[in-house]
Amino acid sequence: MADRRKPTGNSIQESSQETERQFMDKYNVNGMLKDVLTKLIANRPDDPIRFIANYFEAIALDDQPEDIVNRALQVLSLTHYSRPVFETNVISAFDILSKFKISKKLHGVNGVVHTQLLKALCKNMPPAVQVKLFKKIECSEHEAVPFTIFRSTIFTCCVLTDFISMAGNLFFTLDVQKTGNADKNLCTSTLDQLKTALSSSKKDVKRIMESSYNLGPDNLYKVLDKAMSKNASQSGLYNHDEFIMDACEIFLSKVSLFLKRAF
Amino acid sequence: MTSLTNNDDNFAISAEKYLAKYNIIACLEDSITQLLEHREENPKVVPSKFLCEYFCSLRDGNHTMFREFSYIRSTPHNRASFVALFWKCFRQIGKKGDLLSIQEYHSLIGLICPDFPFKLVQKTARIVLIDDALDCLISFYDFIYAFQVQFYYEEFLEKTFDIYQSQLQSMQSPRDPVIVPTSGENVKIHQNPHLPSDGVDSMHFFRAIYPLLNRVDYSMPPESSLREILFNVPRISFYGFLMSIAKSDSINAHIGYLPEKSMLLEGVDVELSS
Repeated sequence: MADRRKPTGNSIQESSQETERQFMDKYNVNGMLKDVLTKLIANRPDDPIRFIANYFEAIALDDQPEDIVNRALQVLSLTHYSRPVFETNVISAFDILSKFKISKKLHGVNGVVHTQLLKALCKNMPPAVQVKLFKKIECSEHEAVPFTIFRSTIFTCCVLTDFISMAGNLFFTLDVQKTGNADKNLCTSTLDQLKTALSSSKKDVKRIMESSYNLGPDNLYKVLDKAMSKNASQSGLYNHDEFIMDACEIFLSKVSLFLKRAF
Repeated sequence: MTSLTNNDDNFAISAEKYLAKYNIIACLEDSITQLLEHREENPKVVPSKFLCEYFCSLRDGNHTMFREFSYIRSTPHNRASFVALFWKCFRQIGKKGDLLSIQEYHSLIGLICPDFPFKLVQKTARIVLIDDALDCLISFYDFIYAFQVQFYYEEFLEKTFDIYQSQLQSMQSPRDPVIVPTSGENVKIHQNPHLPSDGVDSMHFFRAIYPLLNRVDYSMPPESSLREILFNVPRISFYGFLMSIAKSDSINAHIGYLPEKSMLLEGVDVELSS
């Protein structure tokens, strides 16, 4: 990389001032470029230009310590949580938050800064879901937040964000007439399937197989078909927000279990 | 949070291919060249600040102002940003509804890119005027979308033009009139009815340009939009085809730099920082 950008005007400039290479070394330009390329390849964002711009913005802003929540958020949003690099990003986000000043001599992650970060992560969720989620995962202000909990809460927020958007898609599919309201029978039976599928625990292999069968197209078709035939009774309608709320309800009922294990 | 679906393929390819896909090396190289050039006049420049400004303006699409044509042409992002920049700079003309000639458009472009070739502007005019009466005046509205298509899809258009020409020629090749044997006295001489201005069979044309799609070395309109254009008419001429591309909202949205037609002249002027 470095040799490709060999300065061209070396001999002309040498007499007057430092050479271009010296200039580059002095400000560690090559180091920055190497660093940004490594990060770029590790995270492979869809919009690399934005990524590079954010990277240099962060360097330029480095002197302002108040912005640690935003910087941690930026690190977390570099890549999708299903990528291996995300683990590293969570660690570096935790490191950034650790610079938080609790008192004159004490630095570290406590409930205050942790909640700020989670709020920023969840700002696109419906408010009602946020309230319920925070009841489960929020740490109180004086509490120190260890890394294991930090990690689990971050993952919960990320997975829930995706879950909400998928629930939205599901609702859109169920909303056959595209009126913004879906049939209640269809919705409740789908949600029931989801609930039974999620109620299986991690250890029970048979149950996991069963639940994936329950959510598979064949079985879902059967259930939906049954619900459609009941349709004659005109059971009423479900709107988008209600559906998302109920879907999140199912998700959140799993959250407490999972976090208790983390504690 | 980046979405999972779009991100998938970036991990399926090698790191080099990923960098090449987004022209990252070229863009980093240019940033350093610019930094060193800038330093000759301002010896006290701080590289991290300069690079921050450079990439922010690259992100916001204001980086092509006053740059040389070869640089503007080098990446799809640069090309589309340049068209958007042209729109930002001269939208007042569109608001007034003035009609301008090709020469005038070329001098406007020359204000933000001094070595922009006249040929490209001329080709743009061909799209708007359907290859006819090139000295006509053109509205800003028509010009900007045709300009975007011409500049952004330049290679694709050249290739489709070749295909179009060869289809046209094979159609025009001198053939004996076909005698249709019908019932007795009503013998007709069936002449080839297709004049060049009629264009070519659009399904046939679509099949011929299909292999050009989904390539990585140049940009092309999305397949779905091309289907929309070509499946709705039986025959199409080349410039009619280009005009439909220029008028397609879905293709404009796919490029993603210019606002929709109805929004083009709306809103307040965007602040330009370069």
